[in-house]
Amino acid sequence: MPDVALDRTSTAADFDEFVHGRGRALLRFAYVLSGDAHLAEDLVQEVLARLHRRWGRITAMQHPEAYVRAAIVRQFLSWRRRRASTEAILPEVPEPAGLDEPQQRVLARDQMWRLLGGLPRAQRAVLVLRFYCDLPDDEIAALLGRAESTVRSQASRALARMRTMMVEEGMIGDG
Amino acid sequence: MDELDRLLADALHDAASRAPSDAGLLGTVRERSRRYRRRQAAALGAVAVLAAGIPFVVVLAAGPRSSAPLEPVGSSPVASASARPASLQLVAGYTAPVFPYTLPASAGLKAPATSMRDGNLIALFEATEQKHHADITVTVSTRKPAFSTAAAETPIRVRGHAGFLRTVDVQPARQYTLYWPESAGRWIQLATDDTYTIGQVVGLAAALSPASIAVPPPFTLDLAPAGLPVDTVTDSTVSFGGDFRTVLRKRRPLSNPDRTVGGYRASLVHSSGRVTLDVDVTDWNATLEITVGAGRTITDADLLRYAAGVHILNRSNPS
Repeated sequence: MPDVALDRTSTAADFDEFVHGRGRALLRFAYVLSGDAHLAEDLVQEVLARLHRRWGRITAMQHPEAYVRAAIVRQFLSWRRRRASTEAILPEVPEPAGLDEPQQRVLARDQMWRLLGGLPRAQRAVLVLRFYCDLPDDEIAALLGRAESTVRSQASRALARMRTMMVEEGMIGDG
Repeated sequence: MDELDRLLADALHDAASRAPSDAGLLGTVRERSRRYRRRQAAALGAVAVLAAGIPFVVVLAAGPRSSAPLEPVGSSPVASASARPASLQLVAGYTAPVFPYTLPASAGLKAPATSMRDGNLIALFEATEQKHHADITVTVSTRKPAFSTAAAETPIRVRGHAGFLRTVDVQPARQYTLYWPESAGRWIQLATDDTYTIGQVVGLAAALSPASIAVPPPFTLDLAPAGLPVDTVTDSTVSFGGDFRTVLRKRRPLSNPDRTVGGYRASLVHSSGRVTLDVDVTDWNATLEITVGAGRTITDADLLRYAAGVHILNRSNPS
């Protein structure tokens, strides 16, 4: 007969160790996901606080950090949904620039970051999971609870939108 | 990856370096967790004792009962020992064990994930909303539960039976385990935490209703050993009678591959009365390990025949 309580008595130390070891990485993830430092802190704190009391079960999983990241994504999407009426509009049109010079590449990255802020939340989440976490589309689909085809179409639409703006402003070539 | 993709990846990684510091994160998280707990306790004090998310009428309607299905829970290895055949025979097909109860559907709990370990049937109702719900594990066994953790234990009436409530006072949440004899040869254990009040925990137990939820195996089996009841089914393991075990493990090199099973290289080893067949399932990056313990006998041909009938499913997870 499994002794559930026995497994849970050491979870406090495990939880502390996880937060110490992976807290910074989670904040980085939440920040690229949300684009807002305060929101990133809020997302990570909220998710960890809610998972705190069930940490014993989460550490029994093969990839507890993946579970926490998935919870952060869900929290982010939920947060944005509740605040849809105040969702960000597209940022200012980026300044024209080429990418040949290092400083222009830095500028382009900054412009790209600003463009990301104007994407719908689901599209942004897909791009972050694909290009920051390097997840394949099937894992992104599983994490978001959507069909793989939906993930692909969201990524495609987001990239097309960004590509159009970047080409129009001369940030990248149109080939 | 084209120029835009690279630029996007660069932009994200560059931005990550500007993420806020994690200084003080643990303390803030702990405080927020405590705050939720306090807020919840206050809310619970103002609300009638209802199982969270479970309509009162359901609790009443499903109240104390003894009408649970009476199929025997999977036999334990000890129980099955007396029926041990001298030589194992294979029969076609595999019958999945069935978890015999469920909780009413609730917005904050997932449908149960079922498994079986050492003859005990287990259902996990995972909480998807953690402010008002907590994970609930229901275990059905043939014997009275034995515990190795010190806990406060109090008698309590559950579903019309004399049961017990164990409380382990640990952080971040007190653990409650309610257990009671449901019928002759059947004990039920319900474990959760103090997200619920004791009254709600008893209400959850009362809300258990008869069901028939098959325990999903990690692979389909064309053949099974005759006369050996299944006693363990997890996402990596199916075990019969305690020592006829099929386990999907993370891939490891075969010591001495000397045959093939279904086109995969395999190694068959006899040692101290045990027989172990390891199959290198390359396309799953796993090793399928089939072990027949000492005291059981099976021909090599039958063991290979059994192995050829094991079909790994996507839901499997190598241990």
